[in-house]
Amino acid sequence: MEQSTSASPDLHVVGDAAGWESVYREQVGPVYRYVYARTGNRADAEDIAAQVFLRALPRLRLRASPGEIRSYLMTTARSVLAEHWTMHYAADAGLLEEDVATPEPPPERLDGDSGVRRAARVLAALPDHYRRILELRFLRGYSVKEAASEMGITVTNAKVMQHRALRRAAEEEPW
Amino acid sequence: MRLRRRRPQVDDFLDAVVRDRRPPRFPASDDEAREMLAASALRAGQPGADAPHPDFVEKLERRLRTAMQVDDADRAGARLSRRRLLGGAAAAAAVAVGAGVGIDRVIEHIDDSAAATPKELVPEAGRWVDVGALADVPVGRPLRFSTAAFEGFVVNHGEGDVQAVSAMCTHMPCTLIFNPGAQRLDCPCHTAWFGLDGAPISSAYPYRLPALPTLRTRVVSGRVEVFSA
Repeated sequence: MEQSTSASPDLHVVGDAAGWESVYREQVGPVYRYVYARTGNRADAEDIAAQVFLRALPRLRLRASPGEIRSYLMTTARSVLAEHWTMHYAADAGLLEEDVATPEPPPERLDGDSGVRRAARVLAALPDHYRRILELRFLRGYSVKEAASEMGITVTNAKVMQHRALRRAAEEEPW
Repeated sequence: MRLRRRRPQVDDFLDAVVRDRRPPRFPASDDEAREMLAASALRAGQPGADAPHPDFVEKLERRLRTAMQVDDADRAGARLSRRRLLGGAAAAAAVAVGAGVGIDRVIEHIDDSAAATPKELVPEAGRWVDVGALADVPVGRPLRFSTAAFEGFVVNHGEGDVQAVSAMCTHMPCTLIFNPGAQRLDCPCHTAWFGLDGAPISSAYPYRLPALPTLRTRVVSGRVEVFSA
């Protein structure tokens, strides 16, 4: 199998001894970002990111290309996330599945698509009042009460608006 | 627009996400889960929120170093025979199989015949963990369990022979599903089947997958316990 990677221009040869460490240092950021955007809190994101590396790293061929390594780590991340949502929230595992079998998901989904950019893209597609409540809550950290007072509506209305806005946001793109 | 009444835990989940705290667990509907996922993605939009904390990065690297050392020692014996088996013909065939194969170049398959025999996993920091009543594991119906470190099935082979096998496919990290008709553990991601004893039966790949690891198992006063971390 190795002959095919050795001809590849993006060959990523790493010394045997330190190999997994450089893979880890390169990939821990992207993997964590991916996981955080699907858990929304540091405690769960850290647990899940740790599981991803503990599961995937011992099986990696270090001479695979960075793209292949990234793709395998992300596949592992999707699988661990699906287990997390199924086990703790009884959610349909398919919710998170883009496609576990995709050997090479498009690079923009794995890379560069930072949380900031993705959130901005989703918010931009929403009507003003939906965008406003979601910005106040999730980007600026307002409580429901604070957001309600900022928007001049009741707490009950703010809650309802938040749920409707999230539902719309969920329709904007697969998570 | 009318909305179905939501569980109050959804609000608690959203509040936890706003405060970057671990949210409560509860059974949610798919719609609720979709909203919760959308909120998580928006929370990741706070500048810096989705960057890993340096302490975490460092601690995990230490954990991995330990894990990789154990793994290296484990595999040293299997390496030579695997190289021989994964020579030209098998490699060419693997490339021709199609979807999923891209990934096969990335992971190592321990592929000698010894690997096809279930191997017992004994965690260094293991302890006996109760995973259910023996009465709930009739012959022919495995019981799915999770410990902190292990996803598995308890299998009752009859005549006092109770075994715990991993629920994780040895091809890629998907969790296996019990197929009652065929009395098999099937991988939902790619074609790969395992017997209830963890031995690989068949897969879409031109090599044998490693067997599912097993855990030490015992029955104490009608309860099944596995030795797991």
